[in-house]
Amino acid sequence: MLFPSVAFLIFFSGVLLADLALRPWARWRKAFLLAASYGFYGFWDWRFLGLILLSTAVDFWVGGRLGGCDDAPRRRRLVGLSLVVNLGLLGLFKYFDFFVGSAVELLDGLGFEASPPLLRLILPVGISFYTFQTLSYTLDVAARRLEPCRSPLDFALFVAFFPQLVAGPIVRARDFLPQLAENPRPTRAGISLGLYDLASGLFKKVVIADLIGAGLVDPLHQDPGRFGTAGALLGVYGYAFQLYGDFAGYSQIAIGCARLLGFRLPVNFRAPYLARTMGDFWRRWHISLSTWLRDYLYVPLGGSRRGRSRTRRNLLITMVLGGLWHGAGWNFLLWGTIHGLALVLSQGRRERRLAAGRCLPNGWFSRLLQRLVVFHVWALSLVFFRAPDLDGALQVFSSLARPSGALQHSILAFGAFALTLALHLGSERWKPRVVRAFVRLAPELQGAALLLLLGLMSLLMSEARPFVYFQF
Amino acid sequence: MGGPPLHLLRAALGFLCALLLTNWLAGALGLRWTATGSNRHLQILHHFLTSEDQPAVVFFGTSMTRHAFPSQVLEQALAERGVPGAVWNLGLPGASAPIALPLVTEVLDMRTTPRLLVLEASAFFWNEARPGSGAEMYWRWFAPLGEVARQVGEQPFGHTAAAIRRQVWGAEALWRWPQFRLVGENRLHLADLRESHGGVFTPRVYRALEQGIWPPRVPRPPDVPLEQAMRGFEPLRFGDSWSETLARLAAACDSRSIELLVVDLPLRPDLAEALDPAQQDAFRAWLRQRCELAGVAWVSLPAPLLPEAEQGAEPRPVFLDPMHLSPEAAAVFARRFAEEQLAPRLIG
Repeated sequence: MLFPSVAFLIFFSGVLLADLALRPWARWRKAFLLAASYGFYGFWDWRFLGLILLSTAVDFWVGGRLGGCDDAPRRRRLVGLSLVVNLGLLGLFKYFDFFVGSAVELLDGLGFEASPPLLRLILPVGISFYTFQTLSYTLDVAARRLEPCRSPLDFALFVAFFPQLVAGPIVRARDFLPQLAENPRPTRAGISLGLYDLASGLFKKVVIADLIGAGLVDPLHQDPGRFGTAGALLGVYGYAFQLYGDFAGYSQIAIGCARLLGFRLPVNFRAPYLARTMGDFWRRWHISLSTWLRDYLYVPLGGSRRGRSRTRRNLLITMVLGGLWHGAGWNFLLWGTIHGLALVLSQGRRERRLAAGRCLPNGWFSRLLQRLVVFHVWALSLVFFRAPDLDGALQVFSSLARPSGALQHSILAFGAFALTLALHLGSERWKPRVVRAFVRLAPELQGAALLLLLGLMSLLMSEARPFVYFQF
Repeated sequence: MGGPPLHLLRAALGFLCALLLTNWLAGALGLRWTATGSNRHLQILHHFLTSEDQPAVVFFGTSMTRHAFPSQVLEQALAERGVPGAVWNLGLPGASAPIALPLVTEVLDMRTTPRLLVLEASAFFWNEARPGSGAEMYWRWFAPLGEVARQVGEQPFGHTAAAIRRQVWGAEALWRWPQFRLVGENRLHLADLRESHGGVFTPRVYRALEQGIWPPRVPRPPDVPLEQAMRGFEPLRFGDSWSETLARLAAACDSRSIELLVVDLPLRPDLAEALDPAQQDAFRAWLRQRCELAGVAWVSLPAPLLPEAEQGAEPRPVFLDPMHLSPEAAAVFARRFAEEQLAPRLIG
């Protein structure tokens, strides 16, 4: 069930009430939250509950065995088992058809006939998120950064906790398991912040993302040939904000729901379009994924510790695989490669600057220019992300180069885009004030504010569009 | 109880109070219809609501009604019988029976009522199992909460969700209110909420209303394939959630001195033969029984016969597709209906 839906409203209200009643009894409370989480996931497709149970069971067992094992080869075999099961599930459901299909095309191109069977499996919702989450547990235990979890209930709830189950943030075991052990309760400030996060997340999703998507982005990608430079640019910029509104909105709703239950989830976005370098961008966008890739892929590959060429290689591998995580397609691989190269270039400039004893220029014009460059690298790379295939992406780029053409005509979408731009540019100034002001409001007024927002959403929503990141 | 639970409870109370206040305020400002947004059916109903016409007869049903009863033909036939008066055809594509109730209690109730309401009797209109039955409009905009609560579990969850979502209609409508203030002086007749009962639509609809055109374009003829038509008729479920609809409708009409007439519409032979005859007979028997119980007349007319085409000319079809009469057939059908069924009732 989608967050902005009556079904979720009913579900979450029920969960909140039951959680309130069960709070004094930690085990019963956690068992209820786990059942609710499985129910939430099963609502999408009950057939895939088995996969999440398998991933949970394997990694709980592996973690337990790692705790009592000092034999290095055996520890490696245990970690290998976790990797095989989790990446195997991911590979089977997400990448099998892509790789087999691509191999067949290659063989066809070389003159060989091949027709292996394609599995055509439905991608289980959230599989990219929860497999990474359980892997982080195994790898942290193997690296002795974390003690194995002794409670199967706590571990299962860590994996399946419904606010972040289907589209993140990717939660680290070392951050969440201690919370479960404490049996946390929400505070008054937590509830106020939770209500703010719900309101803000819903606003981003329904008012920003859906409006901009429907009015500026979809028309471009449905018929790129109709648009010229101006319309194509609007669609390209629009998608950057649609994706932000959609994904940051979802993450914020997830964080808000968790807060209302007394739990803390990591912040996943931090005004990414204010980034001044590509490295800075990836510390602001989908933070939970970029830090996961940094800690479990980039650093184990050697990070930046083995010379410039190794650092560049590691950056490129990390970003290419990061692109592939988003989807099984050449356009995602290309997108990841672009960002790998961008990071390599950015890293190179940084090294030259440091070698020359210079800092990043800090005047207002320099800051604006840096942000524009980073934004454009990101927005243009997203053409590969959004287009259905490479061909579609190339058509959009052709539109960008065509001086004359149609323009999108949705005033509402323009308005949403302009509003989002203004809010984003000033977010580091206004956002803390707005949050403080909301938290200071009487609870009755917080509820009233939420009602007004729901009215606006109901007005703008003809139907709830799925979150973009559900497809991952 | 104190601390965080009290905070949540107070926030919930604030939410509820704001809900009641916004609903009351929007109602007081006459914004009842402004929250309908781009809902096409409600825009059509609202257009008639703000029309200057005072109808003598109103037809309500699906697109089958829309195509079977051209208003101009009916009005002319009635005028020839000495019964002047406007005829409104409110056949809404995809509509369903429950929407007839708010049509009477909300739309027609706001103006001089018609003398006669003609309701479609097709299984398509009364089929509770029809996907996209349009009944969601009833739950989204009109169904009282008590009725929603009573029928939870019987209705598809989407209808219940739509009814729950409607509870924020006041907050939704108030967000539209600034649109009223943007309306210029030359559109005061639309901006005067009390007289026109409110309504803010897309610019396209405004232009059409100003020009007196509804709909903005003549609807293109439907061309429903047989398989698609059948999906509207089967599987057929009747007599569950909507079992009291006709009785309630008859009572509402009776209290407003509106005579209610239920009319069965012809289907193209291939569709009629493809449908399960036992099911169709059972449905007709059920509806006739409901009509008898409610004291409502039930009329069935066969498909019209068209004069033979001139030699060498293409024969004119009676049906555009399995469900909809052609314009030529509708002219014959409507004239006969006006002469045999409407005129005697209106003259008397």
